[in-house]
Amino acid sequence: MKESTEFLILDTIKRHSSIMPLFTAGYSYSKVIEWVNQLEKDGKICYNEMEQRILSDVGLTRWGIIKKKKNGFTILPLNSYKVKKMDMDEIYLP
Amino acid sequence: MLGKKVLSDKYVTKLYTIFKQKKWRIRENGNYSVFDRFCSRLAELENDKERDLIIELTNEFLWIKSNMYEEYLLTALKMLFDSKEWEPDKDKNIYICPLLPPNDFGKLKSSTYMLYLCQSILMRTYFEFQESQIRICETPEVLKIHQDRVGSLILIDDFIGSGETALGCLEYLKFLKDSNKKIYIVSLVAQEEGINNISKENVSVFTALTRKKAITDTYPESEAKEKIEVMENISKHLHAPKGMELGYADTESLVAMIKTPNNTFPVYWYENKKNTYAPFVRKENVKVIRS
Repeated sequence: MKESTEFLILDTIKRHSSIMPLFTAGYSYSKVIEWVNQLEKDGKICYNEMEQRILSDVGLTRWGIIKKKKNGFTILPLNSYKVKKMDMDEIYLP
Repeated sequence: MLGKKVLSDKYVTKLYTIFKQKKWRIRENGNYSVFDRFCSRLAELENDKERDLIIELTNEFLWIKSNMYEEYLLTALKMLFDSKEWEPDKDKNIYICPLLPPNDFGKLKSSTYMLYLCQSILMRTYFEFQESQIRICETPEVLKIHQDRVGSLILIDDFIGSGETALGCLEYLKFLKDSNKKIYIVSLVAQEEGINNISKENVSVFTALTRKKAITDTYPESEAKEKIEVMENISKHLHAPKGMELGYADTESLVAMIKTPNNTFPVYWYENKKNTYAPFVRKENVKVIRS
């Protein structure tokens, strides 16, 4: 499972205690339930007393790790499009 | 996602559990898996009472795919060959014919598919197929020419619902019955009601599996009445054809084969422009054309 998919599932369950928002967003029932089943087998998803899906301790930790990775990068232009920083005295001629 | 309404976690999970227990695939190579279509159909129902009924009934649903046909045919034939009623005329041939009423002659039906299976290697593990002369007829019409040579006739089909098709075929084959030819019917699956209707013509049916009416024969009377009402509401909401609310001839079947018989509750197979996707769809957009 891709990390982005894993985060999508874990984040949805963390926010909503449900996978229903994924169906509303257009993901197929078959794909979502198989992803969720895999994460349940991995021990990342469990159920609360109201039989709602929640993240286990393992799941929460994993959610945190992926979230950090997602926030730990900056979007930059490609090197070929980078413009060299000019000095104060330089004149810019396009 | 198929359809506009969304099914809740609870029912997706319940359906998933059933699919896993029955070893039905969740994902398919195509874009419209049976599981997705089933979820769409459940989402479309009006309330949880209806969904609970369909989930409950689906636990008993029987889906026989094409790769299971040979195994079921072998079992059904064993039931026939082990039976005391099997008394083939030793001097004459055994004829095998599809169970077709006259209006279905020449059509591509499941019973004609099964004729091919009768030629399989595994059939030869039975004495009859190894040692006897077997003649396979494409349609019952052929029997008119061969009637003097018929020792025993085995009529085959994959599913018997109300028994109407079988009775239509037996009516056509009256000329054989009048000359006291032994006729047997072999089907992979048969509804009890159909078997009873056919037995009134003194013809026995041999099957791998016999099924009862899913609601009327399964629940106590008051509970059955309530569930019938729920099912009728479901069928009306889906705009199922009139008279088919509980399946053709009120058979209350829970069976799908290569095609789904219309004896099965329409919620499992009926589609039109007003409703979404049925899991075991039976639709006229795929047609056979003949010269």
